[in-house]
Amino acid sequence: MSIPLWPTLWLALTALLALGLVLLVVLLPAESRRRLLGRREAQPAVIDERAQAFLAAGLLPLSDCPRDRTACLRCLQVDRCVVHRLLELGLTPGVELRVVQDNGGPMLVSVRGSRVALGRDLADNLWVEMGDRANGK
Amino acid sequence: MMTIATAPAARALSVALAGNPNAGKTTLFNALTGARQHVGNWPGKTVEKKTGALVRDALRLDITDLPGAYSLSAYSLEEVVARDFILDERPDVVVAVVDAANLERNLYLVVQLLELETPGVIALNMIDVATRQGLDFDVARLSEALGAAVVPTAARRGEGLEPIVAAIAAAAGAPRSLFRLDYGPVVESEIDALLAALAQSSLVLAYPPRWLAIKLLEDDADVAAKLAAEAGGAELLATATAARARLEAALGEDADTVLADRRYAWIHALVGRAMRAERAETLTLSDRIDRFATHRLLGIPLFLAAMWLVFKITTDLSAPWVDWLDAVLTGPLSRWMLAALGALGLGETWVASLAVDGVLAGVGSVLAFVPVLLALYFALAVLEDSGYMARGAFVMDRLMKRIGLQGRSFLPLMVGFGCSVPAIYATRTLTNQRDRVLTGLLVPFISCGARLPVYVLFAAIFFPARAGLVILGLYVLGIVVALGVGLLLQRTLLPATGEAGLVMELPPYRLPNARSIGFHMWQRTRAFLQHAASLILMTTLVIWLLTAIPLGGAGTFADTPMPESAFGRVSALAAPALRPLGFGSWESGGALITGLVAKEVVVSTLAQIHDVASATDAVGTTTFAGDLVEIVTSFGRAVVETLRAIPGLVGINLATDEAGDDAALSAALRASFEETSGGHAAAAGLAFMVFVLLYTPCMAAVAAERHELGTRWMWLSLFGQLAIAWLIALAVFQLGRLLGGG
Ligand SMILES: Nc1nc2c(ncn2[C@@H]2O[C@H](COP(=O)(O)OP(=O)(O)OP(=O)(O)O)[C@@H](O)[C@H]2O)c(=O)[nH]1
Repeated sequence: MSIPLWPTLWLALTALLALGLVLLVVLLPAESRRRLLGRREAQPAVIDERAQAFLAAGLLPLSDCPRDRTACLRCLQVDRCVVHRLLELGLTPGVELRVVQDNGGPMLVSVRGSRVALGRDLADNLWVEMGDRANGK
Repeated sequence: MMTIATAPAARALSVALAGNPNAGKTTLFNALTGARQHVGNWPGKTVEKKTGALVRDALRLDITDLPGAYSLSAYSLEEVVARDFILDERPDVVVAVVDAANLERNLYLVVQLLELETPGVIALNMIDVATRQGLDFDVARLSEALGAAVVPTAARRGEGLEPIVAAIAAAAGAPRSLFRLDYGPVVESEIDALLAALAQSSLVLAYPPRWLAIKLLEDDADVAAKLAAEAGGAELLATATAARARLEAALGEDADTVLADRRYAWIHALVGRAMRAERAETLTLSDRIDRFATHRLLGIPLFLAAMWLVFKITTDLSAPWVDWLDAVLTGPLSRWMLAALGALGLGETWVASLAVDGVLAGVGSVLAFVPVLLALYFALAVLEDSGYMARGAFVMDRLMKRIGLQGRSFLPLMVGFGCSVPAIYATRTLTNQRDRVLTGLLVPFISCGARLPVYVLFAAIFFPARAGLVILGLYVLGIVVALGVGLLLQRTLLPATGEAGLVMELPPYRLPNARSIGFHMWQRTRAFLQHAASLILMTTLVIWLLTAIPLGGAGTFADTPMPESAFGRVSALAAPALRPLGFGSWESGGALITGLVAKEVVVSTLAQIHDVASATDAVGTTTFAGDLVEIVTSFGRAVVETLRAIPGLVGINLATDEAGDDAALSAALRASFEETSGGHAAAAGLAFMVFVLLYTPCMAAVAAERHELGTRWMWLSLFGQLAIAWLIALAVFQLGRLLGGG
């Protein structure tokens, strides 16, 4: 009766396989790795001139916009296909938005009376202006 | 004899309903057409197409419910379907369904519909909600600006239906819409230039010229392709590119952005004139609920709880009904059929066997899915209708993206633990074809409930001390294989569609509507019966036929011992392929083949093949009246059990009523596996379980895959899974043999 030994071994093997796969999933694609390690550290390494210019002009990425404050959308730094989806949902340059929820993952913003969820990567590339003008009213 | 319709020739109009997702199109469609509707797919697409008719006096409206879209560009499947329908089928009237409580965003699509120059009517829907929010509309002003009738409706309450029908009838006869949105001097001059260039093209005969010019400025891929196919199209495209370049130079923005911006600016101004808000927009109730539902810490646990509930509803609430159907079919109905055939003198012939073991069994395996699907669609409809489904996708987005899927993929995979069939249907809730296919292909690897009886039997035979652990291991293995296959597919056949990221509207929370949930449950379940039933029935019949045909041996048709039937012979052919896996006997092969009908059948086939009389075959003498009473009382029992299951939905009840393993079957199986594996029965038993976990899904799931994903993907899943199952079972057996020794 040598049976009881090896199903345990087999289970351990499956578990190892599972662990390996999970690690593979999380670690292999460079994108995911960056996501895991936190983009705040990862980003300054690549000095994006345009991002610098936007920051200098007093713009913020939407992902840094505090909750419940009104901001004005200024620039959409994403591909054409995505720009298109954003435009049809009413995210045109100059529109006013308000962050309704920010839980570290996707952002939820209120725009033209509807609520739109935007992936974090996307929100990093939408530049908004906070200024008093936007919040004055 | 022919009957001649005496009614005066009714005027027939084709009507299309268009609108944003969640504007209430389907509700309006249901209210207008009632039960007279047909649900199918758009040719070649997995987008649902609903058509229906409304007859009023001498007027007949043939209504098509277009998929929900935010605009009419060529960027998503839904948009393309809606746009092609309007452009190519040229409906007599397009009804734009608009959410009055969200007017500005909804008018964006309306403006584009009007630019297509088909006669339009605007249903200002959800007027009840808007009024409650203190919004007040100047309908006449809206109507004047848009050049189309505007009719306030509340589709859910059936208000405003008659005015809509009247407006449709009036619009059909009216002259072309005069709607024209002024894009400002710079854009207008480019539009004029393009109009002049387009004048020679034959496209202007088929499509509105101004619309073509605007689309060319927007660099619309579809229109560009149409133009390129024309003579002289290349020059026109060059002209368009130049116009776009000038526009972008003059205004400093993409032409796309400029046009969208102008449309929204125009709409914003119009809404400002035609709508009055009593109070300024504040944090709505939905926002406040979302503070919890999408909370950083609470969001995921809440979602998992909701998913658990869906899973329990599909399994627990439907179980009493599945049992009831099974009892009625195998009990009274079989007896009646046999009695009737007996009265005709066909009692012990092959006809009786065909009727009971072939047809009735086949019908039974189709019907068994009906309660499960009804329960699933109930749960899905409540989630969708209340608006929570979108929140779930929002919350799970980050996690699911790690494995290349979207947040919504979680639900089908979860439902897959209950049954693969509804899980594959649940992939409909995903927003794009690629994710739908990927999720649909992964679902069968998730171990469904039907496979559990096989594990329970085998684990009890071969691993009595650690049965629970082994079964858990199988579930984990299923998930791991699904992850691995998912990764593989993403790197090969289904590459990720760009780093698009999540962009999704979260509709406000609404109380789910019983009527629309009922509609939804019934229509989807009917679609299953229409599409999958024939395939499942056919498989059952083929297997019956194979067991009936004698090949060699002394048996006659429908009365032949298993090993000597065509089925036995075919199974024997499969045996050599299974030998390296440790269970290369015709008995195992045969059981696996019947498992194609439904995985739970594997156990009963094994019992049948190993000639272990099961206790259920005791046919008592019953009367017709007794049978009827039995059907009714068992129905009542099912109702009670369903009700009793409701409180259990919340808790975990690991009821292990599956323990009825016969000693005789266990012994027979053990002996058989001992023999085929050369003394490594445990390894072979484990390999068999792994094989059952991973091999080709049951016919119902295959039918669902064909229906939802298309034939090509169905074949891939069929053979791909067989190959994966074989390889992994081989590894398990050979490894087990090496490690286990004994
Ligand atoms: N209060 C109110 N609710 C409505 C009205 N019309 C529709 N609804 C609700 O709005 C929700 C969405 O309606 P649907 O008819 O499914 O919307 P749709 O436009 O077909 O959405 P898609 O199928 O996603 O394109 C449902 O919960 C309806 O019950 C209305 O006039 N008043």
